[in-house]
Amino acid sequence: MNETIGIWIGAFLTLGLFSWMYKENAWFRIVENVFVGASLGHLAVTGYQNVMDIAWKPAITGKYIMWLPLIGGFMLFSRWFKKYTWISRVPMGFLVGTTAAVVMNGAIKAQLIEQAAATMMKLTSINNIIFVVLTIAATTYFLFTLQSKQTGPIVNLGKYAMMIAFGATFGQTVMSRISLFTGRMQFLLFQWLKLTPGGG
Amino acid sequence: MLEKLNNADIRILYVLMVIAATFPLLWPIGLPLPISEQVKASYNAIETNIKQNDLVFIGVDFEPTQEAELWPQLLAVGRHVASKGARIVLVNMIAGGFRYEERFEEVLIKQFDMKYGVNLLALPFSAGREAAFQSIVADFKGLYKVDLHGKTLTGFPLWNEIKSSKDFKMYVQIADAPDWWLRPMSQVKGLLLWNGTVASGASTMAPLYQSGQMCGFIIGMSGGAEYEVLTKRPGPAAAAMDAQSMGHALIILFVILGNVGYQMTRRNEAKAKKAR
Repeated sequence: MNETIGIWIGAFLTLGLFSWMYKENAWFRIVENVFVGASLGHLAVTGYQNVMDIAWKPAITGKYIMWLPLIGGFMLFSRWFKKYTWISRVPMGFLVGTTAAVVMNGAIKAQLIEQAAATMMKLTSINNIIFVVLTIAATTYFLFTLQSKQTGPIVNLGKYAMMIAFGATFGQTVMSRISLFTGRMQFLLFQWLKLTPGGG
Repeated sequence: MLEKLNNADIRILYVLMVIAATFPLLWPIGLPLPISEQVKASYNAIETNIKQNDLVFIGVDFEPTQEAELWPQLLAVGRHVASKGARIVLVNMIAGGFRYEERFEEVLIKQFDMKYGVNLLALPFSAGREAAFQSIVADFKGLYKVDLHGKTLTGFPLWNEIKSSKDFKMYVQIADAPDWWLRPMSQVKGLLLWNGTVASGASTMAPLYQSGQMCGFIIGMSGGAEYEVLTKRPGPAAAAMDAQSMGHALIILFVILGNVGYQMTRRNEAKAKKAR
C-alpha cells in the first residue's frame, strides 16, 4: 500500500515537472517548490543529525575535544550581526586552511605528479603522439607571459584540442540528461502504468 | 521552409523526444550493444584481482537525481564483486546515498545469501567528503562506531577482523563524478581503485583512468548496460539502451538541422545585404 502511494506521488511529481515542456504552469511551480523544500529539509535534518551524532553526543559524554568544532560552528553564526562579523573569520579561516591542506595532500600526487607522468609515454603509436602533442599545445595556451605571436600556431592547436574536449563533454552531458529522461519514462511506464515491454 | 524550421515550436521537439524515448521502451528495437574495450578491461580488473574472501569497499555515493545512471551500475558491478565471494563493506559519503545502500544490502542478502556482519557490512553516512575519506585512510576504525542501522560495530565479526583500510583489496566507487574520493584513497598502498560515474562526469574522471590510477572505469547508463551484458544479467540499463540510442539520434538530427538552418539564414542575409 505504502509503495503504491509512493509511486503515485512520484508519478504526480514527475508529470508536474514534465508539464513545463508545454508551458510554465502552477502544477510545475508547486512541484518545483516541493523539490526545493524537500531537499532543504533533508539537508537540514541530515546536518542536525550530523552535529548531534558526530560532535554533541561525544562532547557531553566526555570527549571534550568535540567542543572545539561545536564552538567554531557556533561562531560562524556571528556573520548575521554586523558588529561581530569578525568572530566568524576565525572558524572560516580554519575551514579554508584545513580544506586546502586536505586537498593539497592528495592532489599533488593524484592530480599533478601522476597525471604529468602519464603524459610521458613512448612515442611509438599515432595515439601516443597525438596525446603528447595536444597536451603540450593545450598547456601552451595557458602560458600567459608569452604573446600569441611568440607561441605561434601551437596555441591555435591547443585551442582546437580544448574545443574537441568541450564538444565531448557536451556530448556526455546530453547522454546523461537523456539517461535521466529515459529513467523517468521507465518509471512512468513500468512502475506507475504497469505496462510491459512489448506494449502489454 | 527554412523559416518554418527556424521558428518551429520547441514543444514539437519535446514531443518528438518523448516519442523517441518511449516507443523503444515499449517495443524494443533490439539495436546491437557492442561491449567497449574500456568496459571489458574494467570487468577483467574485478575478474582477475578479486578472490574469495578479499575485502572490497563499495562506495554508494549518489542521490535520486543520478539513480537512472548509477543504480544499474551499482547492481551490475556489485553483483559481480559478490559473485567472486568477496567480503563487502558499503560506505556512503553523500547524504542521500543511504537509501541505495539499504536497497543494495537487501539485494546482496537475498541473491547471494550474504550474512550481514560476517561477509557484508553497511556503514552510515559520514560528513565531510574529502576529509571523511582522509579519515578512512588515516584511521578507518576510528571513523565509525555504529553501522547504517545504528548497531554497534564491535558486535560484528567482519568489523573485528578489519584492522585498517590497508586490509582492503579494492575500492569500487559508484558516484556522480567528483574526484574528491580519489585523492585520499589513492594514498592507501596496494588499494585498487575502480569507478563508475555519470556520463556528464566522464571528462573529469577519464584522465585518471587513462593514467592508470584507476583499474576500472565505466560511464553512465551505457556503461551499466554493457556491464549487465558482460555479467549475463541484463537489467534496467540494457533495457533502456534502444531508447537512449534513439534519443541521441534525434539530438544529432536536431544539431544538424539547426546548423544547416543557421548557415542558410546567414547566407540569405549576406545575399540580401549585397543586393542592397
